[in-house]
Amino acid sequence: MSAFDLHTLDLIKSREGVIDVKITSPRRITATVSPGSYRTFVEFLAQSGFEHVVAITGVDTGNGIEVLLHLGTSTVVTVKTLLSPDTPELDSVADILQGIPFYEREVHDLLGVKILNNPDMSRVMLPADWPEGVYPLRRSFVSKTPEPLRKVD
Amino acid sequence: MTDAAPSSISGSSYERLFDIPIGPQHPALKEPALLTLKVEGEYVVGVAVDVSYNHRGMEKAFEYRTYVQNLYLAERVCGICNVAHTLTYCLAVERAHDKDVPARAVYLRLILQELGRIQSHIIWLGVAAHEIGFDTFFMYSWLDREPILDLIEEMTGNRITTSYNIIGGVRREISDALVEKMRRAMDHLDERTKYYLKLVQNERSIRIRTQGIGILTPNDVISCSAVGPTMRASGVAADVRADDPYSGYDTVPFNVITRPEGDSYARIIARIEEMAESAKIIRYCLDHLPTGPILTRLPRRVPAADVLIRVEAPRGELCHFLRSDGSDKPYRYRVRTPTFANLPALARMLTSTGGRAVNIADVPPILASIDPCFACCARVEKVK
Repeated sequence: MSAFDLHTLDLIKSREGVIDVKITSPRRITATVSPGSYRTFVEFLAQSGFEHVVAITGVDTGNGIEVLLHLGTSTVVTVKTLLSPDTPELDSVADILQGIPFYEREVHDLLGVKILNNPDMSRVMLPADWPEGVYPLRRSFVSKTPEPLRKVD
Repeated sequence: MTDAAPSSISGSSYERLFDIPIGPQHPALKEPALLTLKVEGEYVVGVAVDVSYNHRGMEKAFEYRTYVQNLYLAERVCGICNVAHTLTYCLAVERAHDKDVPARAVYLRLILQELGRIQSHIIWLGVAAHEIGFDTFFMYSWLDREPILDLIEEMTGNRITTSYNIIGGVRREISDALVEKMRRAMDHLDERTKYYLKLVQNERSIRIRTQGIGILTPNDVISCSAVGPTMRASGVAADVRADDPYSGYDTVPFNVITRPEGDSYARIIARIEEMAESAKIIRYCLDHLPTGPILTRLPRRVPAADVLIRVEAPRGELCHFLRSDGSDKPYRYRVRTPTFANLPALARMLTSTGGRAVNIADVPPILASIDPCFACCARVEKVK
């Protein structure tokens, strides 16, 4: 555990809306926040030097969609938010982090997380003829092998 | 070329903007992608990037396969940087097990990763020269890639898809004869990189097409979260190997190459200098190669954990996220490739602003300068 990790941990601990925070391995901190305080928490992190967007990962846990936002250059803080399974909605942070719009569109495409207040939510990953409301990375989606174009006897 | 911004960009004298599509099939693109350029006269004033033409459903496919099968799937996310992908995957699984690999395996992995970086940068150099219209340079650089591929073949058994990194270590030993051969090849590479540097710095046709083209300021790359050589060529010393060391990079001395200019020219020079730096790393590893085993056997079932691994792939920071649940298949596997992270920076480069104008003819060199790889960029969709 480096001194910087512990310092960051203390910094995050006292924030409002933080449910849980722990160092999972060297240079990796996971902070669980409520969806309501997600935006203010990300804003605080961006101002504290965590403005490099590593990625957004969406996970369908079975009892909701978990959105993990990874921020930082050396030490990476993962902001973890659990959204309701029926109406997963999250505030956009596109005005705070300019590198983020593509990731927000991706998590919307693949897991159906509705991003509120993002100016451009057009598709980035799925093709134009993909049906509306079908989200391939949800657990309920089962992929199947395509039919062969021509049957060989 | 940095001609002054046309007055039309601010106060328009043109009646309407035109959309010019580049792609999905276009001679300047090696892979399908669609760039819809908004042009005002000869100047590009906006761009929409569509990368959704290569749907391969990789992330979903990871959930259906065992950890051993997934190793070979990870390798196929990207052909050119396959070493970086297998390394990241192996590191993720090993971190979930909380086990280290033997010291000799760490250095062998490192050697292969740097060889992969060199061959990827040489490919890119050729492609960039081709986009500029300098095909002789393209032939030269691809010829110099062959000795590197020969080394990779002798070390791993394959030229491109190496299957060298496996969970817990590496697959093959390295022979003393090959160590010697590598040293000689690195000396040869040093000569060639010096020649390339001289050529790029003196050849007018390269400089005229790249200097002052596609400028990104340090503020731009930081705010766009750009990665890799794209970021370093704008004077920001961000390298995962140094910032977030993995797989033994904290034990190897090396310099993070940066260039102050931030244009396409700087990105060429930065990559050439990085090749020389990689050669130094390989020499160091060969000199300090530890003895001992090359493989630790790990159980097939992986304990539950959330693991985020970042690796400096040739194109920049590569990030894999693994959530395991104690079974022999991952619960969720996420791959974020460097090209995807560089898309906002690409859009920024392709937009004329205040002091700098982007001509339509500048688009291919700008596009090439981020070293785009759309196949790995759009890998995540479902298997249809």
